[in-house]
Amino acid sequence: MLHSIRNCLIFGAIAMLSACASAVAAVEGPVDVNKAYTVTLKRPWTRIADGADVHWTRGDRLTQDGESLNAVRLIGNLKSGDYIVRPQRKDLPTPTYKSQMTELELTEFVSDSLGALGYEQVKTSNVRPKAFGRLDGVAMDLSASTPRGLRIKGEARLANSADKLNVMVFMAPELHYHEAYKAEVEAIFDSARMK
Amino acid sequence: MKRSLLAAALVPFFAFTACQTADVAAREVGARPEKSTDEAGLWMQAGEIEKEIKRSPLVIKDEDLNAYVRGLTCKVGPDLCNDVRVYVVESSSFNAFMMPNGAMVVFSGLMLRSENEAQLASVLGHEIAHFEENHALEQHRTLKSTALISIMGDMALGGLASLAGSLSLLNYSREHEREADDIGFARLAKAGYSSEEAAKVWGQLISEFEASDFKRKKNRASRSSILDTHPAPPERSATLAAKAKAAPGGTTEAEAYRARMRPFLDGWLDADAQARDWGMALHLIDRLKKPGADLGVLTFHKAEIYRQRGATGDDLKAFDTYQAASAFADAPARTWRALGEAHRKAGRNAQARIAYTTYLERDPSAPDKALIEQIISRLPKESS
Repeated sequence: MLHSIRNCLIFGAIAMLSACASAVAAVEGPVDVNKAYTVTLKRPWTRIADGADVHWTRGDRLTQDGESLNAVRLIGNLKSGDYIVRPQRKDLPTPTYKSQMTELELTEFVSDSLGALGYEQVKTSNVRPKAFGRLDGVAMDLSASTPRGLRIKGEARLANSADKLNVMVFMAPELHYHEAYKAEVEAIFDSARMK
Repeated sequence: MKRSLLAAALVPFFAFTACQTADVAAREVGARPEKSTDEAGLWMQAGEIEKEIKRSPLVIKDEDLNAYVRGLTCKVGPDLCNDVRVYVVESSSFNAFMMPNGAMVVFSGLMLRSENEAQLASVLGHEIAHFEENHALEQHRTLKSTALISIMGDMALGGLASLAGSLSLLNYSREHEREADDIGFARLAKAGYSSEEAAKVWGQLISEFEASDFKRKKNRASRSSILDTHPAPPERSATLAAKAKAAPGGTTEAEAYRARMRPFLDGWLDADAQARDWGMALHLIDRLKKPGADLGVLTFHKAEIYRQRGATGDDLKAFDTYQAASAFADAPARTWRALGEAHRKAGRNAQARIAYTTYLERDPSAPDKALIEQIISRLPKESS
């Protein structure tokens, strides 16, 4: 229950911070992700820049209708010892990336990080090899729910490059939004080009 | 610091409420509140929360498990059996709570940590006592009489929005908790269970917190604050142990209990590890291993903790523990995937291939089958 309460607080904080984040802009065309890779957007997306909230320590977030309805998270050049989700308290640690992680451990790192972000019952399926730009990467399907019970679906792609991790994650409600944006987000993921 | 300031600010309120506890008669079987009473208002709020709980994906739908927990509830609360509704939810905390309208929520973390039927029944009996004695209504009237209700009401508004927040309506006083302990203890003994188990539950919880990696949690084992309405665990454990000496006998039904929990053990241990408190997680697994059942699952999860903790020497500990798990018939298929990973990291490619292949043979529909097949195909052919 404490976990759930923490999750609610995190979701609330994200919502507040997202609403007032100054680093929000509409972006289109090639988008740089932490100088690690670019993705190409064929129409404008709202971009919430790296550091606009305290939870995602690296990367940008893109959305069309608001992050609770569709969220693409782009993280690049994560170094060994880095978090995706910063711990809120010393006794509530979150997963840390280690450069020697295997592909399977990387999928676990991403799904556990989503759990630390506030999603409940995060499950991975269809974990498969998939290119990330020119890198050999991994893709996986995701399912989860919010603390309020909204069912979420998503996909993630990840790849190591010179002991640094690159991640792209898409999460959207199963009802309507996931299916509505799935093909477009897949095209964004496919557009990744390493720097 | 903010918590300390809040605590200091609330001291006068709590001191006042200690002298002003409202007393409400015990519930009559089948009783429903009269309309336009404050109790009806409480039931309405609880009803809204219950609707959210019903919709929550965290509710475990398994019919056998629900029937079992409901059966235990009726065993320790036969008189109120028809007034109580039980919801079993997936949450790794050691917890259960009863709402004013008879909706009781039981957490998987409580069931994971209970060693037998008597231990779970002792907590269910305690929660039934809150309902029987109308503690929620008493607390509501006490707070209302001291203006504290406005503070609690603000908390409750948020709480109504989610299952998690519902706890804010249920901050019973220490007096209520002690009374619920007493009544729960009597119900446990009357149902024929060993009353010693009521104290053991708290003793186990104290030990688990003491094993935490974090000072803050270690302190929770022995301390209760002004904002923690439950009596401190050591006090509860000692009080219940003393009472048990005067009421020996009774059954624990340990094996029957373990059999009921077995289908859920693997998933609940996965969820428990999400807290990333490796000290507590290892302590729990070592305790659950003592009866000698489910050793494959438990040993696998012990290895997982070593692997995820990643302290000096943990790689070797994890490998040895995965190896040990693989000797048990109930080891999860993931044991062989983990062995494959360990062999591959060490460059033992032939052993890695065998382990990965065994994993896919044991779980042909593994969610990562395509990736594992690629890993196998890329392993150098020569054996190390």
